[in-house]
Amino acid sequence: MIEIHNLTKTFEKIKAVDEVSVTIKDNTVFGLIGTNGAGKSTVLRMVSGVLKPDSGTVAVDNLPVYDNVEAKKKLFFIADEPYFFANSNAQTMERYYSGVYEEFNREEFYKYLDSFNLDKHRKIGTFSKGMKKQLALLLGICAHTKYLLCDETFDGLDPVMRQGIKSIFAKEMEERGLTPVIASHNLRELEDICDHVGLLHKGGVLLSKDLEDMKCNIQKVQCVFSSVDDELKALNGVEVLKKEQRGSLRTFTVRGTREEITARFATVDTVFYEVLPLSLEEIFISETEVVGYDIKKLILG
Amino acid sequence: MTSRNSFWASSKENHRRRIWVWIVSVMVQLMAYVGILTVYLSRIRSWNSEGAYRTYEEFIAALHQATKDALAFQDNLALVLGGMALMIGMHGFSYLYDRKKVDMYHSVPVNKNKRFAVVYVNGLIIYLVSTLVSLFIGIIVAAVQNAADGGVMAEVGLGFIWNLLFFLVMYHTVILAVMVTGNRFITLCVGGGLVIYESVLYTLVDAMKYAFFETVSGFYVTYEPKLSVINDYFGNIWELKSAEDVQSAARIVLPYYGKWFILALVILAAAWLCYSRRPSEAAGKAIAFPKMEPVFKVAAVIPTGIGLGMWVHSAAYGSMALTAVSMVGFGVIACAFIEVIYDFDIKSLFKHPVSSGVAVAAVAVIFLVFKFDLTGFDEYVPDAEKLDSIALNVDYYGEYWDENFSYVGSADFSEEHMFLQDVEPVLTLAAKSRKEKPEDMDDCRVVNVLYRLKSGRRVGRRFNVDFSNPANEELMNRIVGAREFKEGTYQVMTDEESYAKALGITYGNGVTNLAIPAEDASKLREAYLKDMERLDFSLVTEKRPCGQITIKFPNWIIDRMDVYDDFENTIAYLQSAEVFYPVELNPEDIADITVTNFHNELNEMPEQAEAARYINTRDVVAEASYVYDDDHTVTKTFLEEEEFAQITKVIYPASMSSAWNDGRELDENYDIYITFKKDTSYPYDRSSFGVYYKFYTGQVPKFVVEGTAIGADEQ
Repeated sequence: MIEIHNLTKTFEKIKAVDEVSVTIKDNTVFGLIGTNGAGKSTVLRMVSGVLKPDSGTVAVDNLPVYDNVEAKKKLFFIADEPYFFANSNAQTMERYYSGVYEEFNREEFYKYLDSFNLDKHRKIGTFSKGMKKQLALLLGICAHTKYLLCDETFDGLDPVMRQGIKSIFAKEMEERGLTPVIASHNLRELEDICDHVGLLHKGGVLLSKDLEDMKCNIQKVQCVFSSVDDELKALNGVEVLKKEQRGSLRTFTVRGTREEITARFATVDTVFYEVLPLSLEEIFISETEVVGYDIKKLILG
Repeated sequence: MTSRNSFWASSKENHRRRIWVWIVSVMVQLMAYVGILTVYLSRIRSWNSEGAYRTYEEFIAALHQATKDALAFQDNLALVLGGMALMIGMHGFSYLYDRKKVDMYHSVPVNKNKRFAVVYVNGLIIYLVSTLVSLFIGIIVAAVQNAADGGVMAEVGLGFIWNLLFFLVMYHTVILAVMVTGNRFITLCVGGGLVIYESVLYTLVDAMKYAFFETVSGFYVTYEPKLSVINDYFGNIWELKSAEDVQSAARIVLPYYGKWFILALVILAAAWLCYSRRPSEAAGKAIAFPKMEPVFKVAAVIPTGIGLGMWVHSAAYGSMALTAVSMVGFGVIACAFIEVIYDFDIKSLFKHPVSSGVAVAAVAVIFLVFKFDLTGFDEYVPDAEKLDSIALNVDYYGEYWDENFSYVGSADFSEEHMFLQDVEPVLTLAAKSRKEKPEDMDDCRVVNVLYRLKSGRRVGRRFNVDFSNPANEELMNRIVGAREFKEGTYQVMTDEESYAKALGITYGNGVTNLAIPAEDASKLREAYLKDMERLDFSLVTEKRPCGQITIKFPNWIIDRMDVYDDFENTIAYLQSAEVFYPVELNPEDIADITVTNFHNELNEMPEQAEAARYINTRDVVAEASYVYDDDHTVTKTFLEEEEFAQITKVIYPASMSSAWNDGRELDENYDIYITFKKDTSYPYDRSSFGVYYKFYTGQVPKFVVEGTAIGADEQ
């Protein structure tokens, strides 16, 4: 488990990360969402031990990470622009990382390279941006660390590759309990990968929740009530996060499980009602609007 | 089997990424050692084929010297070593400049100290291997050409350690510069600054002292940079190259070995400390530690402002207003420039006004301190009670040597041998000098003095004394007449051993030069020492020597001892040896006297030289000569014995000016050339046709003045 407690980092006079506290549970895919400049990279660089926090702590399996080799053995950090040695190829990088990470699995690495059609002898300098990210991910996965920290690594990967990486993540999570932490500014990129999401904005955490919990505890209901009394009765005691009206059609975003909401609406007289699934984007919009933010501006642009 | 993450595995991995550094290092070292050696040896062989060496031994000695010059102590090597230190040090730790690299290297599970050690040791290995391979090949080349023996090899060994330690200091300095900076350009600036900073400060302080103070003297006490290996290297390299054997070379280098080693360790420790504390976010910034930015700025602005201000001072012929304005102005410009460099942004020109204000204020304060002598530098005259002894030089420059007959400077000699206890006359003259202007003195002489304080402190100063002022005579007699003064001014006083080893002795009076048996040196010295008791200021300034004893020692060392009329013991000896002839010539021996009057009253004396006369050091007086004009020069030859009789009473041999009377009592307006009769018994030097003389100032006979007047030669 990675425990981040009151983490703060200031660059000159700019507070990049402001008292961030997040817990990253083992064997989950943690998504760190935020706009450019929200502090995602800074958080990941502190979690990976690159930067020293001004205040606050980062503990990886209860070990402080900064300047601690034992903690770093549990992490592999893929920066937003991963560095590869000049004139190197995949084999050169494998040789370096297998020297640094004792558990590095060479066979697996070359197998994955083949699967992803990456030539181990080809100079990395001639790779496309996407190919470089694939290579960095494969190096990170094959390093066999418990935590894989990816900074904007999935942005720009094509759907086939994303699916491939997702499968590998699933396999590695199942086999050895890999915990990927993925930072991105694009919510849609993470929707199908993450189990848990933390939203960063202006250096602080707006929310941090399990995706399933969020999806299960928030519903969208479209409904046409027979009377105003029925509407009042249906919504009595229900937390309404958002309410829209077009003619007689009402659309509510409400908190509660699908069963609870269905049961509540079944008790009142309606012309029509339907409980619809919410996309991650819609969930975020609702959740953040509650705390006064316009999420569309933050991460959907 | 080594672990995959062991030191040597990491080292091997690191070497893979330093291939080009390896290649460049080996190439450079091969060129620097083997290339240079080959050039030197082929040059010696070429000279030999042209017959430059008389014997085979000479030829072999030249080959050995060439090997030492190339492989042991090579003057150009400091640049090569500095360049290599820069390349190896910067390349090794250059990942710190790049955020992408820092993200990778600092996130992987590698101990920080181990990473530092790996990069550091690998850099050292690159230097050592490239050097040793080059030296090995060089030694083989030298051995094959008969240009090396055991002694040469030993010197090559000494040179290897000398160069290694120099490299280490430079290498560590570069690493330290990398650690405190965030990009290559600033590393170069800071690295260069660290290497030369101390020397620059010393140079600037010296320049300011000489520009603003009147009593500053570098005769006895010079302030040399203590930590500058470049100073040490270049200050000794010529002595090392000319060292006769490995022992002589070892005597020079050994003290530096310890000093450089400690210096290298201290710099390395500082570099490591900075490395361990360096924030990763420093990559790409100008200065790695924000708190050091104002420190570097102030440290850079002060010498920049002062240095450029002093340059203006010199260009503007000492204009104080321009100096002050330019110091502050250049200080402000330097502040702005540094801020732009820090941020890589022209808009940052006036950022951080507080540190800029401090830096510029420091420049202004330093100027004021020197301009108004706020430290009382020029007024300094120590209390007699605080003084242990004094050494001084009263405008006298003899020749001195050590037990190996190696040349010793007059400052070093008097410092070692003169411990004047009667300090009061010196202090009185020093204090008096502050109230008198040199231009008001008729015969202004410079006295360089070393105050040895009881606290152990040594203070060097200079002051002026008017030799012609009777009020000074008694004080000067107490100084010059003191035994301690003579012991520190005349080597003959203390060095009995050298005189026993005299190779040859002659006595001359400007015309004659007769040999005395070398075995009489001790006897002659004994007589001379008795007479030296009479020597005082009045004697040496009122009289000119009637002759000079010249003693030749090994190593081309020559001692010249003035003989005065009052030196009856010496003269008695010289007479017994039949070499004494009076300085005044017998008119009967003279065939003719040719007098040339340069008419300096019509010639131009350069303004600078005129001014320099007041400064009155020997060098400057030599410069302070007239620009002779042939149109004003009148030459007349006198043939009458009566004329000879008058002239010989008022002339003095031009070649025999005393070290005390620097020639200014002789009239520079006239040259006198005397031709002797062929049949005279006077033992003048018959290899020449005649001898040059000078008139005593103000004693030129009237008929000579008239005979050499403008137009007299046309009548």
